[in-house]
Amino acid sequence: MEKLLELLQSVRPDIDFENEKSLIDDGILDSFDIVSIISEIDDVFDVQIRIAELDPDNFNSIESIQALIDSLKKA
Amino acid sequence: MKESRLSYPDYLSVADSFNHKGTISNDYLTHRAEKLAQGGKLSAVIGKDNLFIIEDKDGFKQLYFYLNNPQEILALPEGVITAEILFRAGSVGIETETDYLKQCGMQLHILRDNYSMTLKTDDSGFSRYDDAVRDAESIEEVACSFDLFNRVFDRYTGDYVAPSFYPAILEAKDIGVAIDKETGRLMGAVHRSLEGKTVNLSHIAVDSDFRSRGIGKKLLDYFIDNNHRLGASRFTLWVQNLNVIAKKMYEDYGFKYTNRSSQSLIKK
Repeated sequence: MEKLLELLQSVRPDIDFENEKSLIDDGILDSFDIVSIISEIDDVFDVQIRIAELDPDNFNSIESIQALIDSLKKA
Repeated sequence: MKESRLSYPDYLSVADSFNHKGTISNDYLTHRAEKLAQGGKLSAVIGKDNLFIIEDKDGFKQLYFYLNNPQEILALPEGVITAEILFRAGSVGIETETDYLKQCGMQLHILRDNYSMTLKTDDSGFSRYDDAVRDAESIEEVACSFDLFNRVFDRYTGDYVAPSFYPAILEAKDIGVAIDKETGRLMGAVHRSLEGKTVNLSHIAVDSDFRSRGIGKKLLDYFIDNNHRLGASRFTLWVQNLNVIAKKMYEDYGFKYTNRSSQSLIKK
């Protein structure tokens, strides 16, 4: 998860991704952040996140984002 | 290439088909797209390499694009069209997108910067609020507030709010008003939108007859202190890049530029 943490911190260095568990529900990340993060994830992890996968639950924590990446890599 | 209505499955399908590695896009619709499509407010202009997604707003349309080939110019629909390109200062520039939209018939409009501030839960240093500002108590006060915002702010950029939303805004106590005790006139107003523990300062304005009396600071005091006491810890806002006076006021409160900005474009 180190690589993902580094990626997220490059997009939003002001957020404590290790401890925040409601990134979307608490309004900490907005739709611009999601689009930026997805673009970085596509490049760094070589996966394609489809529009339908932009479910808020997938982006509420670093753990859920990692789980999404892992599921896409297995597919 | 004509504009055609989109269902939500259509939106997912067409957006994915134009979204490749290297595609330049400003599609921030994400969670709102389903509801918009269900309300018949989404349409598309579909090219061979590029895609426009169009959102119907109140009296104008907002454009989202998927750009793969800057040589393929798509036709914009009739009427007023706006587009917003969000970017991080210091990262790759947005000239490709802005040059393309200019070729399609748009022109640069307003540049805004994003600021935020975080307060700890036990931070009591912001109790500067006095009773000069209070919650709006009637639909008339909400309507007057938005009338003021619409006079001060650009109609087509940022968060234009249609009158159908006023009752919900009143009930949620999302508007603070400063009323002149002698005349009963609205001197200024502030509007917030709440997302979990994050409060966005959606609008703040002072009537031109009441400027230079510290009303702006009182509205900001109310916004920060009132919401902090209710449990909010993060505060965000957008401010026009050229508005150095407002930026200084926000910075004095502890707001910091988040390194995010938004360039809007418009076709009238």
